[in-house]
Amino acid sequence: MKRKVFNQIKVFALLVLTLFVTNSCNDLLNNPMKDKETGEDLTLLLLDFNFFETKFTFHFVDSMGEYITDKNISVYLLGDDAANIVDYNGKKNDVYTPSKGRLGLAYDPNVRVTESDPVEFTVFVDVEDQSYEAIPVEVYFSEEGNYDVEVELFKTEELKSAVLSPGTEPFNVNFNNTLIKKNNDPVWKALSGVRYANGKSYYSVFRATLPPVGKLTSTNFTLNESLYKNWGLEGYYFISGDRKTKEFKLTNKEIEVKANTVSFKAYSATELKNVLRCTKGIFVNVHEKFNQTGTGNFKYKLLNGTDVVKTGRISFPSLPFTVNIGAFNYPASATSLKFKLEGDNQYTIETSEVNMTNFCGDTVKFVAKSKTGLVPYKIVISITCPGNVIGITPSMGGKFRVTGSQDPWTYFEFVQGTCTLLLNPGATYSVEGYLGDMTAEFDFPTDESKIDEAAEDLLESKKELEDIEYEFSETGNGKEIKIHAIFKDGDCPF
Amino acid sequence: MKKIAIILAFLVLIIFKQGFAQNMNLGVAIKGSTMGLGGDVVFQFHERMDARLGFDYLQYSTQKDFSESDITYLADITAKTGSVTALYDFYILKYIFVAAGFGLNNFNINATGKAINGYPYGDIVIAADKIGDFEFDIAPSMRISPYLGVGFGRALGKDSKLGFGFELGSYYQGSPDLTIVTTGLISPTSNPDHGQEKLFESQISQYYLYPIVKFSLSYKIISF
Repeated sequence: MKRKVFNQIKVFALLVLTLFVTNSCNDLLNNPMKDKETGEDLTLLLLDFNFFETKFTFHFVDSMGEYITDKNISVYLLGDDAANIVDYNGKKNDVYTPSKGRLGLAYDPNVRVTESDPVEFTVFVDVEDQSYEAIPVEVYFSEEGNYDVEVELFKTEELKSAVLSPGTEPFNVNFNNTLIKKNNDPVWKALSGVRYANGKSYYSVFRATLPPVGKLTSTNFTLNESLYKNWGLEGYYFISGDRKTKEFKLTNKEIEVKANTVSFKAYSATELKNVLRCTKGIFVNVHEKFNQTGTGNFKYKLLNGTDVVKTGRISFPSLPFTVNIGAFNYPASATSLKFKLEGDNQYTIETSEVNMTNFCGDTVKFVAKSKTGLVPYKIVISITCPGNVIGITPSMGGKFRVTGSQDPWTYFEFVQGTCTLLLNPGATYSVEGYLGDMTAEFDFPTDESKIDEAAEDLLESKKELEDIEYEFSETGNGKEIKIHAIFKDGDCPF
Repeated sequence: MKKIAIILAFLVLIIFKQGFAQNMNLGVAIKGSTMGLGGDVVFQFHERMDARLGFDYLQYSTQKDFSESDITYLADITAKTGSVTALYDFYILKYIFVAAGFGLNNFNINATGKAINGYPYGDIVIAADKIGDFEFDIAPSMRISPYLGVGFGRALGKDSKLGFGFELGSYYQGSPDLTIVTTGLISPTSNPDHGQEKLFESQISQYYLYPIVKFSLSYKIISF
């Protein structure tokens, strides 16, 4: 009997062994948080580093709309809400420096932007070699979103000072008797309406280097004090590069600064005359005729007749989209405004000019039509920083155009690490990408067979990169490219 | 309807009785296994064969915190096991049997959670509630899972009212399905474009078998 039971146990053991032989115990004990192939730690939760509900992309352009890329530009933000502005690394700086004429900043996500608590600050620009001047630009938005702000800079010439002709408002400004004014483009009229928080408006009139004693007379500077006598002046000057706020006053053809200043930049004030302000802005709605969605950036102009009321850009991660252009000033006499939208290399706008009668707070609708021959390329980017073992999906932006062409740049922005661009299959594109304060210039071939070479070139030029992995796949009507950038230890962009 | 069912059951018993021309037994069992605690109704219709209908269930909940990218998350984890089973046993030896059948496999692991601290980022802190919530849910890809096992002992006692059984086996549940739902800044985790769900499904694909270690104690109620 004992032997019989023992035999049964042996048979039982054999059966159990047979049953489980196909189920490897080693596999069962694998830690699912370790990559099966490489053994590296995996990140469970992918964090989108796009922390910000409200972002601003500042475009520093010359009077022809071209980016100013070869100058050292310092950007100062002033006003109550300026303290809530951070760069994409979450840093609050006194001075920001654009890269390639572009500066991306964001609003502290812990501070809400609402109609009752709008974001309002003024952008002041200082070009190191003083070869350009810019009018302070007010930024005013009453809801969260991604906004483009164009800052136009005007070329000056060395040793020239400004001559203001106050009798010819809207202001004509002369540098050494040369009128700085575009034909039929009363930019100075619009500029005269730039407003700072205390209700005064500002425009840049001159720049000069002061002697050690802070007194500047109006030599070679014509100023009709009657225009300003009822208005105080506020200004900012620099001591050893630090921005200071100091009261200074306008006397008869003089501006006296009560400090020892080395260099000085002043903004004079004037009252808003016959100008109304629309704080509700205008909502721009665009949809694509063939439901061909993509990422892009369109330029717009808001016109009163031929006078420019406001210009700028609107970015969209996909179509359809609706965005607000923000507050603007307009002549009280204006009964209607014309909204003009320009397409880019991906889209044409069917009816690009729309007249608006009840423009303030209203919505203007456009139909975009994707250009023929273009195919959607969905690009998905993720980044890993091995030191921190974080998987992140960056929200980055950039611009592209066909390599070797002089086409205008088309701008794009990633949302949750993805964007869809309409590209010409077979073409190679020049791309400038921005990630935080890091920029990368590279060629992007749409031909899969050429992408190895492009990736190697990028790896060679960006020493921060350890490796780039990519994967092409066909989608219904286009392609999807997954790109995984692996940064070296200590070189993580975040 | 109830009457019809009773008549049908009676007819089945008659057919079995006549077909196998031997004693049949009906009993109940309590069981504890890696699938939970439960019970079976055991119908032994042949000296070498019986059928079991049963259920089991177990639930365990806990909290666990973990950190990623300098953010600490707190997860509520609930693991549920359980099944409704229909098994057939064949005794190859007096006290060794092979069991086969199907189970409605209720295995499920669910983890929900959120960040419990803000994320310092430059000069600001990203609030914990902006980082978002997550839910991970793991379930068998085959809810109706075939079962195969071997047992030692008897599903119902052979010569006595009491019986004891020990069983080893597996449900074939297929590679587990993972569902991820995330909100806020961790939303990309559930975005199919980033393939996180697919990645972790492949990381747990080896768990296509659900192992069963089972003890049972049975009581013979009727012999006929």
